[in-house]
Order: sequence, then structure tokens, then C-alpha cells
Amino acid sequence: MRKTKYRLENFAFWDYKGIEKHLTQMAEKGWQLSQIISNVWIYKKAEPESITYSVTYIPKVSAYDPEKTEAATQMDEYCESVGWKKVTSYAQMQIYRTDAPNIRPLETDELVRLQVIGHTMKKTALIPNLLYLLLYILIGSGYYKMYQTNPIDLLSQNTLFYSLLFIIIGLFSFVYSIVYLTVWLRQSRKSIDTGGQCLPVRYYRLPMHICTMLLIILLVAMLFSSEETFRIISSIRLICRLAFFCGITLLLEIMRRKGTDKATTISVFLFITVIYAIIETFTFQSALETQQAKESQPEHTYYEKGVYWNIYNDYLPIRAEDLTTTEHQLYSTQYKEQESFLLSYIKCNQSPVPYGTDAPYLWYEILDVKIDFIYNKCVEHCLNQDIYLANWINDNIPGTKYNITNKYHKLSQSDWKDDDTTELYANADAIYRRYHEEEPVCEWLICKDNYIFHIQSNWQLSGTQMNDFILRSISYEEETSHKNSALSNDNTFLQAFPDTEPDSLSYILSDGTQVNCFGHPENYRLSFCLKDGTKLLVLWDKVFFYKQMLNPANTLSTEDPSKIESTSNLEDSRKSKSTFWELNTAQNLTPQAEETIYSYLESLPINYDLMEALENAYSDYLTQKDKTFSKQFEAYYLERFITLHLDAKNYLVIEHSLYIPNDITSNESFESPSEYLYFDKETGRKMDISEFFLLSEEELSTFFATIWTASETTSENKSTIKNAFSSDYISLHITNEELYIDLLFPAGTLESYAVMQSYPAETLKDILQPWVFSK
Amino acid sequence: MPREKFQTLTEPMFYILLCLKEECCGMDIMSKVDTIADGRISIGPGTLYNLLDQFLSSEMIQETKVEGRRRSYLLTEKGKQMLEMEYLRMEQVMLDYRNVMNGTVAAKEQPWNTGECYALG
Repeated sequence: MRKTKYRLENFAFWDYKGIEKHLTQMAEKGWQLSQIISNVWIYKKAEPESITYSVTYIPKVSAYDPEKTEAATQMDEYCESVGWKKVTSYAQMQIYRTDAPNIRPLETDELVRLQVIGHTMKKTALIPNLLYLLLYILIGSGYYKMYQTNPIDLLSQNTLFYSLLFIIIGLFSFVYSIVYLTVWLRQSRKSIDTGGQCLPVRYYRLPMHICTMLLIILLVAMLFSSEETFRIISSIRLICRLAFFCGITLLLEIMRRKGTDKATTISVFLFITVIYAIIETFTFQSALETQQAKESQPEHTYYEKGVYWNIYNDYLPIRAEDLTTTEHQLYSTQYKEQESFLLSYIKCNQSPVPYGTDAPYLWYEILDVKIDFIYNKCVEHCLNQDIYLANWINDNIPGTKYNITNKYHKLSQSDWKDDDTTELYANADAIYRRYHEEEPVCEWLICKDNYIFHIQSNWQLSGTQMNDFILRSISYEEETSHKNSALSNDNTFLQAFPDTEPDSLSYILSDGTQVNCFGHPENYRLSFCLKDGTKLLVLWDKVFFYKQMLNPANTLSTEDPSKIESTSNLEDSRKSKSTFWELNTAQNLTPQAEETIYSYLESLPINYDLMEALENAYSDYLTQKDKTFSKQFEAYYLERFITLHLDAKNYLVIEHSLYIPNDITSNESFESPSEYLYFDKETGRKMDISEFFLLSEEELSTFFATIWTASETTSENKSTIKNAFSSDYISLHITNEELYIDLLFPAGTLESYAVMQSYPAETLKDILQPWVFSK
Repeated sequence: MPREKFQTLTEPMFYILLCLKEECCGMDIMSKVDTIADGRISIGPGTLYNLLDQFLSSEMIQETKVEGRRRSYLLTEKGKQMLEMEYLRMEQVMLDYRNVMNGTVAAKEQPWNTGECYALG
């Protein structure tokens, strides 16, 4: 049998009658009140007994005063002298009991009682509640401002929406209790004036009960509707906050019992509260931010011209390929979704990789407004984003005057030329196009039913494409099961080869694991995959690709088998080798020279160890296998460039270089120095760099040794350089339209590590052949 | 603390002040009132405490001595005046009553019809 009972009581603080009655009933059931700590009332087990309780108030005393104040002691004395025993007190409220049947009542003057209650409540309830009210109004006005400036973000997030509900309920309960108290005081006064008593408090507990229940339901709903990580963090936060409130209440109670004076208690209370608020805000904010940063990590990083680009691989409901024809394969796709009871919001971005290519780019937002009365607000917001941005910049960045140059214009059917838009106009309610300084740009806003589509692209969408977009997005919205996780969003490349037989080009790793190789004829890209489709390595190497294609023993799987199966197609592709090697831009290249250069390029040795790269990728894959993104594992990317570097009058310079980012996650990469190949344009003969100079090899070594040591950048002595020199170390290349001669001593040839000097060719004019400069 | 209640004194107020004509300990006031009013008026401890507190803050009584927990109070000049005024008011009430009952004054001027007598707070 339990000895102690803890109950949460929600009596109005001034409801003395209700409290007295409740305590008497509890005592009849054998539970006698022993202590009150805020809303937690503690009862002790006792024999059922008829006890009369009486509640009175001392306006002077507050919750921060010690238990035994002068005032309380005085009151206790008076009460005890006539037979009332003190039970407990909480702030101004004093509770006495007696088991004697006929005893002098605690209060004999109803008016005095009412005045005391009025005064007490003004002190306890009004001031703190007004502060709360102020706080809630501040937060509420913040939300209102957000509704005005960023309604879509606000309305599409349940958490924000829930906070708003929290505030509304909180505000209601505060306003309600204040209004109720005021009305009660007035009505009781009337009752006393006509010889009656203070009125019972009838309509307080139920509404407060409902508010509390609603808050609890909301809290649970909020936790369960949010994303998992957010839910965990929020739950911990909630528990911490509850623990804090319990802790601080207990601490206050202990201090009260110990008789700590009011000033100390208030200072301790304020100090701890402020410290806690700071710690909580800081800790949880940073926890959320870390989590968000972790989630928005790109799947891998792409390296181009010294810059790393993030590549995301999210599933998109509509892709540029759905609307227009493109052969571009590699895209970075980002998907963001927010949904609430009021609004669902999807934002998608599909950008081609490498960046800056002409391939179709598509960016769009789809809003599904579930409640009519916010629809116009959302449309208005989308149309006026430029104005909001301008206002924000002008308000927040001092000294700027941002002019609005972009504006939406409503389109009518006659604005579309040479395009059948009948269907589109039958489908959409309104179409707007964005204009930049009165010039139309590829950005549209389409309203249809409860949807708003905001599309941005790099090509002019036709009416049919736009109509297609609308139909596709609506059907996507309706099939909510589509909203899949990143895991099912397999790389598009993999989707192209669903069932791969192991008889395709395959490699066996040291532990016997088989790696299959798949080629793609459009971009000379090869993927090395495990049997389950996990991609280990992507290789972009024309030479390698070409050799595999020519070797009849290798059957390369491709996206479209018809493209490579028939030999005639292969022949065709060989015929268009100038496209293949990108030599088609070279001027005055004789057919004989062209053929010779191709043969040379085709015969270039592979300057990397493919097996080593595969082994590395595989061991990295194994260590990361448990992670959820293992399907998308693509840590290794290997690329060999062979590009036309310089097209002079008599000769060509072709750049040959290798790029291996061996671990994308750590952004470590290795780029080998470029090798430059020189070809005679007439014969196609590969030229040696020494042919470009008027001097013999011996003279060259003397010459370079002289200018090298003269340039003071190195302490190597002249004869060391002269001895180490080889004309192979010289290269000719073009930077910013200017010819340069590079001299690179590889590591080991000089005593130090690899060293390089670069000279503008103009300065070496005297020792270079005159035709070097002719274009 | 609203002042209006001291314009007229309620019976409990009147009797408490009356007890404090002589120095008296707070606790003894309850029994003293019982004696004076012969049980017709009873003052509860809660009411007593709060009224004493109000009287003190409006300087109608003063604390004379503190012996341990026992605090004694005595009427001030102001308190005496208030008591005196109340007494005169009630005397006037009685006088009016007699006059009306003996037919000396017309009934419409009876003071309790003005509402003044009922201004309790």
C-alpha cells in the first residue's frame, strides 16, 4: 500500500472553496494533504476522517519568501489559538485544518476575504501573467511578420505551425484566467454587497484541463510528425526542460524550507534560469545545425579546373529529360520537401555536371496549397519575391539602394508565338513570366487549382512542355508513395543496366571479387561495378574506352545495344574519330596527318594502374559497407584528358593529363602534370620538342643552364643543371593566348624535388624556329 | 489597499478597534471581542490578521511591543477619530430612528434610504 500520493491539481489559486471541498473529500478517502509544490500536491495516507479545511491568503508573502515569515507565523498563532492547525502553505496561500465540528471559522468577513484575494491575485497572477502575455505577443508578432514576408516557409512546416498553436493555446489560457478572475471578483463583490458570499469558481478547471490536454496532444503530435533526427533532438530538449523545471521548483522549495531570504532566492532563481536558457539554446541549436549539415552532405564531389563541385543524387519527380531531349548523362539533383496541414512544398534542382555545359537545366518549386484562403497570399509572395528581397537588402544592409529590375508579367495566349498553347491554357488558371529589365527570362509561375508551379530553366519551355510539366507534377503529387528515400534513387547510370551478365568485361580483384565494366558510348565513361550494382570506380578515358571497343574479345554493355552491336555503327563511330578526339576544330589538317595522329593517340599507353585503383576503391567500399549510402558508393573517379591544346599553322599541341581524386570524401586528389604532344600538321608525324629550337641539344643545355641560374630563384649551380638537362623536360604550351616554354626537372634529376621554370616564348624568340609563332 | 472601506467601519472593524483602546495582544482580541459583544460578533483568525494588517498600514493602530511571538497593539489618534466618527454616525442613526418612530420627522428623510448606511466597503 502506498503511503504517499502525488497529484497534479489545477485549482485556480483563489478558488479557496473548491480547494477546501477537495481536501475534505480527499481526507474522507484517507488521503491528507501534506505539502504543495507548485501544481504537485502531496498527500499522505491516513485513516479516513472528517476534516474541515480552511484556506486563507496573506498578500504580503510570495513564492520566494521563506516558509516561516513574520506574517505567516503571526497568522499561524492566531489560527492555532482558536484550534486551526497549519497544514502547509504555498506562496500566499495558507491551509489550515481542524477536526473539531464547531469551531470559529477562519474568515468571518466575506468582504475582507474578497479584498485579500483581490490583492493577492494582483500580486501573483497579474504581473507574471502580463509578462507572459507580453512575451507571447512578441513571439506572435514575429510569426505574423514571417507570415507577411515568408509565408511559404512558415506554412509548409508543421513545427512552426505547431509553435503557433502552442502560443494560441497559451495565450488563451492566460487571457482566460485573467478575465475569469476579474469577472469573479466583480460578481463576488456584488454578491457580498447584497449580503451573500464569495461565489464558487465553477468554470475554471475544465477549460484549463482542456488547454493542458491540448498542449500535451500537440506536443506529442509535433514530435511524431517531425523528422526522426529532429524528433530525437526535440524529445531530449523537452526532457531537459522538464527536468529543469522540476529541479528549479524543488530547489525553490528547499530554499523556502531552509528559510533563505527573498532576495537571495530570487537572485538564485534568475541566475539559474538565465544560465539554463543560454545553455539550452546554444546546445540544441548547434545540435540541430550539425545534424542539418550532416544531412545536406553531397553524395560526392566533382573536381573541375581546380574547383570542387558538390554532386547530389536525389530522386526528382520531373527531370529535364522528361520534357526535352538531351544526351547529357550526369546531373546533380537536389530535392527538398516540406509538408504541413496547410501546404506542401517541393523544391527541385537538376543541374548538369560538369557545370556550365549547355545541357538542359531545370529548377522548380511545386506548392500544393491545401486551404483556399492562403492561396492568394502564396501566389502574391511568389510574384513579389524580388520586392521582398530588395526591401530586405535595403533594410538590412546599410548604405545600399537595391533596385528592382525583375518583375513578373501575366501571359495571355497571344504571347506565345508558333506554339500550340490551347491545352496549356485550358489546364492552367494563370501563367506569369519573369522579366529582367523588360526582357523575358526563362522563369515562369503557373497557377492551377490549388497548385502553384514555379519553374526556371535555361531553355525556352514550349506550351506543350509546360503542360506536360503540370500533368506530371500533379500525377506525382497524387502518388504519394513516390516520395522515396535516397536509397531507392539509384544512380541513373546504374538504372541503365538492370541485368548485367558477368560475361561483360570483367576484372578479378586479389580476393577473387569480380568487378564488371560497363561502357557508355556517348561520353566514353566506364563504370566498374560489383555484381550487386555497387559502383566502385568511374573512369573517363578515351584511350582505354577505344581499345576496349576495338578488341572483339570484349563485349561492352551499353545503354542502347543497337548503338554498338553492329559493326557498321562501330565503323561509323571510327569514321567520326575527329569528333571522338576533338580534333575537328583543327585547321588545315591533312587527312593523312589526321589518320596518323589518331593512330598515335589510340596507341597511347595507359598511364595509371587500373587494378590498383580498383583495389583501393574496393577496400574503401568494404570499410564503408555498413553505411546506408553503400549503394551509391562512388569514392573513386579517374579521368584522363586528351585535348587539343594549341592549333598553330604548322603544328598541333595536344595535352595529355591524368586526374585521380583518390578519395572524394576527404577531397584529396592527385593531378599529374600535363604531358604535351606535338604533331606535324602536314604529315601527322609526332614531333620532338627539340625540333622547335634553332639550337642543338648541347647548346640548349648550356642556354637553359645559363638563364636558369641567372634567374636567382634557385641555388642549383650551372653545371648540375647542364648535366641533368634533357630536351624531354621542355614543353611548349599556351596560357592566356601567350606561348610559354616550361622547363621541368622531374624529381630525382636535380638534387632537390621537382623544379620548374616557365618562360614566355617571346623572350626566347632568338632560339626558337620562326614558324613556332605563326598561327 | 482601497481606502473606501474606512469611511464607515464594519462591525468586526469597529469591535477590533474598540478592543485596542487599551493595549492588547493580537491573539487576545478574538476573545475580548467575544466578551464585549457577548457572542453576538465573532472574528475569525484570518479576518483578524488581515484587518490588523490593514489598520497598521493605514496607521489606525500601532504596534506597542513584541514579546516573543506576542505582538501588542494600541489605537492611534487617527484610529480614535475613526472610532469616534463611527460612534457619532451610529448615534445619529439612533436619533433619526427615534425621531421617525415618534413622528417628529417625515419618513422620506430617513438616512438609511440614502444608501449611506449600506456603503460597506
